[in-house]
Amino acid sequence: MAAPSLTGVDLTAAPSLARFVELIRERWPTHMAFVGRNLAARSNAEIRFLDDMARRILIVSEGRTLAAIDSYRDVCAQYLRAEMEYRKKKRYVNDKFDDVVSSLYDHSDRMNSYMTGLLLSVIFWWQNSGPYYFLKTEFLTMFDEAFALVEVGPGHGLGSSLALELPNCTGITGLDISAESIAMTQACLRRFGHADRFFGKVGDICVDAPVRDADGMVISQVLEIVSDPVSALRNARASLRDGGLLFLNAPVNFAAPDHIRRWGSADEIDAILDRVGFKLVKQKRYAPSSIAGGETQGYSYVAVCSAV
Amino acid sequence: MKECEWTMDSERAFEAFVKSYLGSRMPEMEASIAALESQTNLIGSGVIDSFIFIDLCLAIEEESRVPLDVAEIDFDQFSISGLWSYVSARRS
Repeated sequence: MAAPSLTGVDLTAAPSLARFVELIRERWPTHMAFVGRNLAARSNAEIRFLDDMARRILIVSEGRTLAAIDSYRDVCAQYLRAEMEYRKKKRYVNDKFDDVVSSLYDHSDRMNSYMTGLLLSVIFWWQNSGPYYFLKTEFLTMFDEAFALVEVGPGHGLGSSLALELPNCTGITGLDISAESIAMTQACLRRFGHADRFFGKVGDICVDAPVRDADGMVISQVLEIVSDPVSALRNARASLRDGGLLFLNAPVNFAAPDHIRRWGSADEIDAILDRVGFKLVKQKRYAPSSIAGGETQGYSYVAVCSAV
Repeated sequence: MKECEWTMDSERAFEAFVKSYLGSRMPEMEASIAALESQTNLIGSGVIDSFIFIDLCLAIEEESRVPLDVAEIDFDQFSISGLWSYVSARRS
């Protein structure tokens, strides 16, 4: 397949990313301008990274790429609806985790489509891809020696697979409240060839610490969903050895169908981190691709903290 | 934010309302907004982002009193004429 032409973007060396771009062109041509703007803003290293993520997503989607594009389009619509509802009512449609479970998570067809659509957002929304890039280039590189991680809510295993590719990563404990979700993560990691060092565990980070003395922990897009984020971060601290590192990624000021809490600023999150025993080491904000004359109000907040 | 009054009687008036609203939100884009064609996809073209699109929808909803479900509108209809079609169909 010839690399699709996008002004200012060369995808010749990014075949997996090019495949998804071509599918967007076929299935949703009016989205191409957005895709083009997003990719044109990326560096060569970031394009290579997005291609690598696209390769993983091709593996996970097992050939159901057209359905994935349709799911992605649906997710875009659901995000818009969720944000509009929030702005009207100043609250989310669901404000309890159980409500999200009954309205979304318990419906396997709806949930599968939602999760598949979200997968593609990892390629096309910089606020979703940037945190993975940071995870790979700024967090995982902080471990000089052998290390073991915990990932809370590992989903399709994209983050875990980035860690498990490193020779000094001895293993990952994946924690999720749902046995079904853990089974999905394990299935995805099997396809990536990394299942042997992934240990699934069913549990609730809000209730207790899943392990002790871990070297690192990844909590990505979880705090906005859980019932008690303070307890979650307190248990994250209890899971880590002194000096252990936490990678945290949370959305600030943007809605999604399964969010029950809206973080109004990164300061709110930093205050909790400080309170439960973390020291901020570095942070970054990933906003959606900027549009000339527009303004972006929401962003993904990424922080790396040391357990003190 | 409401910068103009809109009498809901024609697509032309609707277009004027949309352009006036967007112009008030993004004065630095005034020329691009004035030149917007009715069929131009507002987000796809890069004129506005999704956050401003939502604000625009809320302003239209307030002015027209027509509940606007953005997930019900096809993305390809995210244009002035597409929004007009949606709103006018629900007012009649």
